Amino acid sequence: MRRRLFKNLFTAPCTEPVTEGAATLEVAGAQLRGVIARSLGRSLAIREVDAGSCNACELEIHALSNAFYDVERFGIRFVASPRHADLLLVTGPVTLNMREALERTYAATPAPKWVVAVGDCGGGCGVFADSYACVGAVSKVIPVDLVIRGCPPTPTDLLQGLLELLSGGAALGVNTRHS
Amino acid sequence: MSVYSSLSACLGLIALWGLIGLVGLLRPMSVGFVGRTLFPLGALCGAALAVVAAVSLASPPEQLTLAVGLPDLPMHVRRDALTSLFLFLLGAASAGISVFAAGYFRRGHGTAPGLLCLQYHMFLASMGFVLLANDAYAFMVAWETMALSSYFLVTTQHGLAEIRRAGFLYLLIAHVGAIAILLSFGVMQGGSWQFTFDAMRGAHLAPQWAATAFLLALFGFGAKAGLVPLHVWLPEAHPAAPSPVSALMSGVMLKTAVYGMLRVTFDLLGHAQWWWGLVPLTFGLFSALYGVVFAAAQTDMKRLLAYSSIENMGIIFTGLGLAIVFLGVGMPSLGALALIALLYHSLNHAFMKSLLFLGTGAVLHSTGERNLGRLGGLIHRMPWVAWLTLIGALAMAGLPPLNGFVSEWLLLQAFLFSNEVPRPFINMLLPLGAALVALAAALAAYVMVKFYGVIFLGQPREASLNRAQDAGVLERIGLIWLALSCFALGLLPTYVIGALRSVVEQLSGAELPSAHAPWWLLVPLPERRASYSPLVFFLAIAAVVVVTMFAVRLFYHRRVRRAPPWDCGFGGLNSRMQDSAEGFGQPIRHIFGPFFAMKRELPSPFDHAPRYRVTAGDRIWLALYLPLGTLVRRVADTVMWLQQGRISTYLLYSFVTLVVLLALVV
Amino acid sequence: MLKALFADLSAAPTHRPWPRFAVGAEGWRGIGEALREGKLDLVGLWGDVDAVHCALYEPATQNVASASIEVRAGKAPSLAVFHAPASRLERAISDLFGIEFVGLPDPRPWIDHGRWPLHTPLAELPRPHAPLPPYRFLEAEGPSLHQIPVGPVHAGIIEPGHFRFTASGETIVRLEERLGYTHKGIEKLLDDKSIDEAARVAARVSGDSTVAYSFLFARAVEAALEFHPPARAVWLRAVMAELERIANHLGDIGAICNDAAFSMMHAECAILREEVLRACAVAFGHRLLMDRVVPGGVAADLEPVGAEAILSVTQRIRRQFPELIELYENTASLQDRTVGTGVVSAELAAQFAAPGYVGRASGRSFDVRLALPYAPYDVVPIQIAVRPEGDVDARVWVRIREMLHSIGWLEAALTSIPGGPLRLPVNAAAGASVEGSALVEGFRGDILGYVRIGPAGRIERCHLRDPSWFLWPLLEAAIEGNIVADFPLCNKSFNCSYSGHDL
Repeated sequence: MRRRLFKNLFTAPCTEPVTEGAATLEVAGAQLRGVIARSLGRSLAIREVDAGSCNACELEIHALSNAFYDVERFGIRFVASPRHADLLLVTGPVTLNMREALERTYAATPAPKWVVAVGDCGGGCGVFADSYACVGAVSKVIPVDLVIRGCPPTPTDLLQGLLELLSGGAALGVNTRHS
Repeated sequence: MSVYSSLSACLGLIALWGLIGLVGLLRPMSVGFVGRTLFPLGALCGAALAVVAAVSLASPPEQLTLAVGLPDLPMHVRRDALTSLFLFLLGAASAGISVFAAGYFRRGHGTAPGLLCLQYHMFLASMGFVLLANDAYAFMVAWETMALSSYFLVTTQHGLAEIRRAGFLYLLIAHVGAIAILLSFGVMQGGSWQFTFDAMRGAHLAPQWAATAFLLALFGFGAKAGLVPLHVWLPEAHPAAPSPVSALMSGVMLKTAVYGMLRVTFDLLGHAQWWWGLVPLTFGLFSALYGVVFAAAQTDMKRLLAYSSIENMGIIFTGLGLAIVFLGVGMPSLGALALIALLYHSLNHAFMKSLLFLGTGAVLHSTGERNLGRLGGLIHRMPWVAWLTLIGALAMAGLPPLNGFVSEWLLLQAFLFSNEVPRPFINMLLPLGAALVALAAALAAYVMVKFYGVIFLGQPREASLNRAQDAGVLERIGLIWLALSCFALGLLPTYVIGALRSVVEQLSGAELPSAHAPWWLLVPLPERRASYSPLVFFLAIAAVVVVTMFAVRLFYHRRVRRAPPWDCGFGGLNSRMQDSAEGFGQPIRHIFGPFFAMKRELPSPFDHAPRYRVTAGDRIWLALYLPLGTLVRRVADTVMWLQQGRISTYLLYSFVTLVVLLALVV
Repeated sequence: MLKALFADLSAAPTHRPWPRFAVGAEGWRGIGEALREGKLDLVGLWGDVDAVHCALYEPATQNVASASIEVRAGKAPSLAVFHAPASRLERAISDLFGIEFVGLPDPRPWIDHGRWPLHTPLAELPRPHAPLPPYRFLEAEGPSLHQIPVGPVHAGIIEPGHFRFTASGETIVRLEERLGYTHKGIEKLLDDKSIDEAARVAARVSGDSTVAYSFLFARAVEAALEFHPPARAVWLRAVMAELERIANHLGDIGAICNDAAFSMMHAECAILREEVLRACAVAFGHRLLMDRVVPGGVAADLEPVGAEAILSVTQRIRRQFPELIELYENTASLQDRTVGTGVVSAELAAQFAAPGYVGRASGRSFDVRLALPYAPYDVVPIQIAVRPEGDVDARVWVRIREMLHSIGWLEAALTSIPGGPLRLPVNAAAGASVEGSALVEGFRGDILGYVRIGPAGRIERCHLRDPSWFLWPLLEAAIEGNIVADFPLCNKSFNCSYSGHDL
């Protein structure tokens, strides 16, 4: 392990060199930092809730933490308890079995809080929308500030979406909530 | 000499105790009379005794010969600094306990209240007399009275078989110990056939006889103190007795064994060899670890405290061993330090343990439960008991600024300099003792967290706990008295040590070097630069608390929302979902597995009604006592052969004995 | 054994590719006894409006067959009496179809939490909503035990499920799971859908096995319709399946080490996984390859650019991964956590027909690609790795070896992909009901698919059985006796799917 760590000291970091797509990411990242600093004055703590998704959105959310996207450099981190969270990231068409848990999670998050629904399922237009076992969009259960669409949305989409939320959400007509 | 002598005053107060006990027989069934009048009177006597003893700590020793006893064998009494100290301990601790007992004993306890009053006060009086005795006869009479009266107290609820059994075990080991003490006195008289302590002080014993006397005394007093492997009676007798009695036994009676050991080693035997100290040191360390590890595995709150007593007595005997070593190799100031540490710890333990036992008594009375697995959340229903017991728990855990920390710190200070002992292997091994003491202290903190957390914090584990009542006025006063003592002993160590100096000087002739430090700073050995200021600690903690409260009030937006605890979203939290007492102790049980004799019953993965049971037993009981018991039974069975059951055989025995005696005499 | 059981019966003519026999109560009992004796493996058990079907595999002869029994008056005999792994499957069928299994030892509902607007949604006449009694967890008796409830919302970024631990201090005495939180009503959704619509739903049963599920659905439909996809599509499907396997194994190995608090391995593996996903995006246009395998062929072609991207990734892995393996092996604290933890005995693995790397790490050498090879694995066979220990370390090693074998296979396969069309139109309206089944090796294990297509070409019944149905009960057995802190490690080493378990 020491040998590997030593070698890594002299290797270039994976975090991406600036190409077309990455430029958007980098700019988004820097903007994100500024906005969070203005709005929250500290890093953004995200609690992810799977309300019945197929796990593809979770895989892409996991990817946000790898060395290429490295969300932590922008001040964003994932936390274990909704009590520590500023933002709830909800995936999946809310299944009726998960509805109460989602509501409890929302109630347990202290204000100010935001909710981002991820994926087509979270936005209510996924393939599961008409099922007897699903509520549909996350917004039918808890108030949602932003929807990031995709099946699943790529990590870049996720980051850009988070930025739009925190800069005032022009794209999808949201209002930031201080309940 | 003026008319007043502190010795007479002490004797008078002790006699008053006896009188109070006898008065209780006048109205044996009246709880009100016994509880409202007699016990508080006894408490006052105790307080008075404490005052007299404290005042007379620095006075020169006094002696007296009493007219009681057998015709040619009067009883001698003596009061010196050591006696005064332990009389103070007895008086002060028993005052608080008696007040609590006044509110505690109620009808339907098994023994009639008047009889209980007699037994209780005879117990107190006999302990006082043990401390004052100046010859072997008086000592043994008082010792046996102490054992007997406490036996009756232990078996108050004699209707239950397990309590009778506990009492029997207690009496058995007490007697085995008493025989050893008697034998030790027998060796110490050194041929003069005079059993007064003065004669023993003057006798010059050959080294091996002195060693024998020491070891016998260690055996006897160790049995009373609960040193491993003679500890098996403690975890049975203390839980079986009613709580004030447990407090007295644990807090005060065990200290009489310490007193006896100190008297024999430093006073009667005079010059103690350094290597004698290794024996109490080893057994003390082992007891400390054994006691605390077992305490961590208990589910009965009083058994837990009993094992904790074993641990603390182990620490005290460790201090004793260390003191003997230091004094024997010619390091008087360190020896004095060790002596002060052990005396201080005796004082501390008396108050801390009594407080804890009385707390459990209050809990037991209001909930009827001794089992930790059926308690919980009592801080809401019984706030007085909870907060006062918290002080006891913090003190027992050895946290500054309370008293437990001071004595443990002093002991560790003494240990840390033990590498200067000029003996080849010992100076390397002794510092290991410091590690073991530190381990025992850390585990003691763990045990106290378990004790306090499972009983008072969390959610009640049984529905009936919601009807628990807080303690009554008299009980509260007793608890407050003991809690305040803990604070006083913790915050003013310099005064306490000042008082202990005279004891140490008298015992060993050694002196702690006087430190030119202010009264709020404890510096035991000035040249070593270790110091401790509990008052500063206390003030710092208080300051932080006050500042935080102020800051929060000032900057807080005051928007409060109460919500249930986060439960991962499933919404069905119940009282089973908090740690159990055994669960809390399971990691310790796992690590210290070899100490326990474990019996496990484990389920398989696909059982439909899985059962899980693990019992941790005492290995020493299985390895030592059961075989011993079997051996005794076998011997008895063999000797039974003599009991033929026929008159003619017995007449034959008498005839043969007569013939043999005639042959011997003629 | 199979021959013996079904000797006198004639197979249903419309079921392909293996026979499906209709049996009576006697025959069903015979199946149960064969399962109990271990002569047959239960591969799947699912319900229908008027019947219960099961799929059986005989290890001795490497043959598969399905059997069905009619439901009379809402009742059917239970297999769970003989064979414990069938228990949850039957409970789920009961919840969905309302079929009562006579003799089922555990009658509690499994997927139905009492939250749906109706009960037994797939029955002919669903029952209206009625409140259910609270779920009774099997209690372990003992004075020292306390319960630790975890979930459904877990601390990490993971799917929801409830675990009820009964622990004594740190040691877990019993674990009971309660799943069903992500039940989306997939089987009902698939009813009366066209083939293409149903393929989109099937791809989203479990997002991390989307290729395997699409592959499975396509093969089941093609078997039912006796349709042969073009050669190029067959090869490309397998390339995508292997890419998915490699990406998932890389993610898993890192995540298991992360759960033992060794995040360096996690970071390194995440880099490699990201490179694989990016290669997939370059090659086929979607990072997770969703909707790329369709009935009739594949939806995206592999250009030379894509092939190069894949090859450069595999070479990169070949260069870097040996160091990571060495890192895993030489970190003593990590080995201390993984070796000997979460042991699944070989007997249990055999009884439950443990799929995938869990089975192979406990000595069960079953892999669909070898035992019942489908194109193109019959042309270029793949190697598998089997280990006897059954602990977390063995499961990591099986993944490591499988990944390296997949890389080798990919490199060989990429040179032999024939040209030709990507996709041929599938005419599902065959004028009669047809049934098809298929088995595919996803990265977790074997996935079973059964589909019945109606005369008009719409799905009448589709059942997709995730390997997690047999893995979840094994987790309960594996965790016993371990400490609470080892649970995330064991759980991740299994990596069962919550969503695929048709939650």
